[in-house]
Amino acid sequence: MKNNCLVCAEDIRKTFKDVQALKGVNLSVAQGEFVAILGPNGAGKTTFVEIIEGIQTPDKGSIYIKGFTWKKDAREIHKLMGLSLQETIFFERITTLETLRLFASFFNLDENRVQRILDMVTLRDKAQARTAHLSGGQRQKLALGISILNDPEVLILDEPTTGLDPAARREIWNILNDLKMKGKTSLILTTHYMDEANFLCDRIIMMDKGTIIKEGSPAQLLKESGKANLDELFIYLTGRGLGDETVSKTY
Amino acid sequence: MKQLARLIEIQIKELIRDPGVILWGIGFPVLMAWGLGLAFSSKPINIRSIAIVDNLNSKHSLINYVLNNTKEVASKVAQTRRFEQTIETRAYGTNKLNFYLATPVTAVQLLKRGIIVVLASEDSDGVKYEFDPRNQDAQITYFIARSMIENNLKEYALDKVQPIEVSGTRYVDFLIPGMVGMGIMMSCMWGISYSLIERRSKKLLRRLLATPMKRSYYLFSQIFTRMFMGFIEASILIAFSMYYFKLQINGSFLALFLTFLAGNWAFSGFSIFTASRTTSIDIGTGIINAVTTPMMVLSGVFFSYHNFPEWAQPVIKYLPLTILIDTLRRIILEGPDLISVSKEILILAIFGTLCFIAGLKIFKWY
Repeated sequence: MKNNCLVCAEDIRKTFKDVQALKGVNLSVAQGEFVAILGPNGAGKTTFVEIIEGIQTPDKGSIYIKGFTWKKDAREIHKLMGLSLQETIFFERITTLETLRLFASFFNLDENRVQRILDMVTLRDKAQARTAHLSGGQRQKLALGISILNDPEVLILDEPTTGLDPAARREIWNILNDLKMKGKTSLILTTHYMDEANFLCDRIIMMDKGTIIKEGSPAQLLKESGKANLDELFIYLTGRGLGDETVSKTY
Repeated sequence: MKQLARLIEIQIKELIRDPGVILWGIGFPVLMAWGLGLAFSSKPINIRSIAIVDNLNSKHSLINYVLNNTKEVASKVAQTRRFEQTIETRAYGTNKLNFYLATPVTAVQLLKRGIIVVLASEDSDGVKYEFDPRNQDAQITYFIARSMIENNLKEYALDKVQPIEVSGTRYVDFLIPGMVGMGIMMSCMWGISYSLIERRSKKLLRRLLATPMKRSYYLFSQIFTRMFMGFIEASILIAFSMYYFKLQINGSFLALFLTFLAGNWAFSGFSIFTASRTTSIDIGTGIINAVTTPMMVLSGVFFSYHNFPEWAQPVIKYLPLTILIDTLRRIILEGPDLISVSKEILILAIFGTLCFIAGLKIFKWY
């Protein structure tokens, strides 16, 4: 592993037409560490995680996942990574259980693992429900279940609780907290919610306009800035709240 | 009312701001109407074809009429001579009659392939017209042909008309292989192409790629599923036709099955190719319609493509759906052995493979 980090991003740059989405972003995530990437829409966080996920390629810079690179070792990385995309779409006429079984087959996992995940994400009573009939929260839990099926060393969740009610959000947090207790998985989480980042993560990275503007543990950030809460700090740094649009274009 | 006007305004803007919608939704249908209209409607001539069979001991009235009153043109059908004559009718407009002088065996073969719809034969008893009475085109062809040549039939008290009795010569016999072929094309184009485009647009393909899933497995699973479903659909249609319409399969089931597989593979490859790039369902639907509609019209699903102008036929003949339907029709109605249809099976398989490889080369997963 490069410099003992599980996920290493070095000087990542990406431009879309005339918009510079990422302007040389660096990140290192240690084993078992939970990291939140915060930023308003258009800050570049989704582009950044999609580059880590191997969905997009950077114009410049390198990504190392446990020392592997996407170019040479895509299959290895897929085996040790779990992810949930911002939009959660499944095969609509397939049940929850069938969906989990399908994804389990990609990782050569057995039925025991499928049943365990069904319990972990508390979807046992929806096992036979078609995914089209699941609520937003249940769909997110299924997406999370799929992403942790292979017991990943690196878990990347792109806004996993956006649009969910507080109870559903809390359920997702509990599942992630259980995962954190086990200490094996590193999490990279993008979110609009400061409370989510504060509750779940060891480190917060604040992004705006394609760069990291501040990073540290929640306590450290508050102590250094002298602000009462992280929302205030973010507004102080960027002049805007987390939900504000910065760039109307979506990448 | 203001709300409604605003809603209509934004719906229209949504539509017209997508260049793909303009191209495939508006431009393509207009282009197609223009092309087909120019090709097939500028000369409103109905082409009708009839086989003339001169049997032993006939008084040669029919053949004499054809030789003396019509113009000989080159025939592309082996063992036949073709003559044509154009006639104006009040009820049926301008009609070009094609008379094929043929042996009884060839005439039946022409009937099975849909090249002719009426078989007129003459022997010592007189002239006999045979056609499928449920086929309106055949009825009109009979009326016109009979009125053209009746003056030459004075030697007989009356001509005989009877429904055709040879197996495989009814319109329904012609139609079923066309329906099977069309089913294969539609099943692949909508089942594979549309499904790929829809799943790409909804980012499901992207989600699947974030796992160690083999990409080729995904595509093959779609192809296999479609083949399986297509097999069930075709089997039910053929079984129903055998039971209800008494359709007879004259060729071998192995040849039929291999043609079915080759046809499925051809259209599966073509589906992958057509679905290889776009992420827009609107554009995808347009592309699928753009490739399926012309073939559905031209390839002889419902009526013989021999009725289309001569210049169009070399193109029509090599459309994948035409090759598939012609081969299915031959196997079902004429019963050739496997070797004699192996060339067509091979062409379909190669077409599918080339499309599949080209499609994979440019395939966009997300």
